[in-house]
Amino acid sequence: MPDDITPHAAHEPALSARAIQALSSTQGWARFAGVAMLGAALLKMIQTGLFLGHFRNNPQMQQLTDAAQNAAIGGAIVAGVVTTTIYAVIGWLALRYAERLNYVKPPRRPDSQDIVQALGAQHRYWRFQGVLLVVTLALLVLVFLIMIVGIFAAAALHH
Amino acid sequence: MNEASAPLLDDKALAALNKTRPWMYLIGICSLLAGFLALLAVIGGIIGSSINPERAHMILAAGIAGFLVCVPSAVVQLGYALALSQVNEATGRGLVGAVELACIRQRNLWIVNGLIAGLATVLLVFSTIGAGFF
Repeated sequence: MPDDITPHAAHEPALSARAIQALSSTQGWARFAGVAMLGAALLKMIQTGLFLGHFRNNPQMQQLTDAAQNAAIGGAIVAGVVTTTIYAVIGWLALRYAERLNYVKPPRRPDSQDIVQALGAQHRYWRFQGVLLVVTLALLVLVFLIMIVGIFAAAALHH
Repeated sequence: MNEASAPLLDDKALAALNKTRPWMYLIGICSLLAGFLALLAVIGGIIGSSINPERAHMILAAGIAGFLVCVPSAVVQLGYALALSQVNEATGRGLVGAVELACIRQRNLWIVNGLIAGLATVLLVFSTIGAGFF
């Protein structure tokens, strides 16, 4: 066994100085991504508000029936709330990862628990992105299937 | 930092890295597919420019933007996923090197992630200004 490894370290692997440096230099980017996504959530909320504010003055919307107008307003509210929430959660998870990396940053000497917390926060961020992707793909497949069924139904009615 | 004072990588830390791996492969492969679709849009835009130039230029611009976002994302996401696979397979001293590579690649991933998040926010600022004044 080489002299520079303690008996404890010989049995369990340790994070190298370069790995610590790479983790701590990620903090700024994670914070930037988090702030950007929270800003995007705020902007999405403003956009939804502007759409609803200008809705009644829009000549194209005035041509719609009352039921169609209500459906359009409801759809815009739901879409705005969902998008804002998704952006806000992504931003919050990125900021949480950045905050966890604070405990890994030199001159502080992180312990194994600090590393677990940081890597766990990163895992939660990417898991959320992955789940979001799966849900989006599932919705796209669903829309595609509905379109196919609609086309066949229309063709059957035509004949 | 010498080995004696370095934080230990316990099973929980390795489990957190291993649990991230399938998500990174999923996201990376989807980004790669989206990049391929963007490339098809670019080719479609080039071919269609002689038929309907206005629409073709829009498709071309969307394709170029999608390609510039999706391909670098896919490269860093799949690079990190491959590094996490090495962490899963490595043992002993090799594990320390594999984790080091994974940490370096996750930094690259967050640089690209941060830049794309910043770009998306800037585009939202412009579209909000557009929605507010026009």
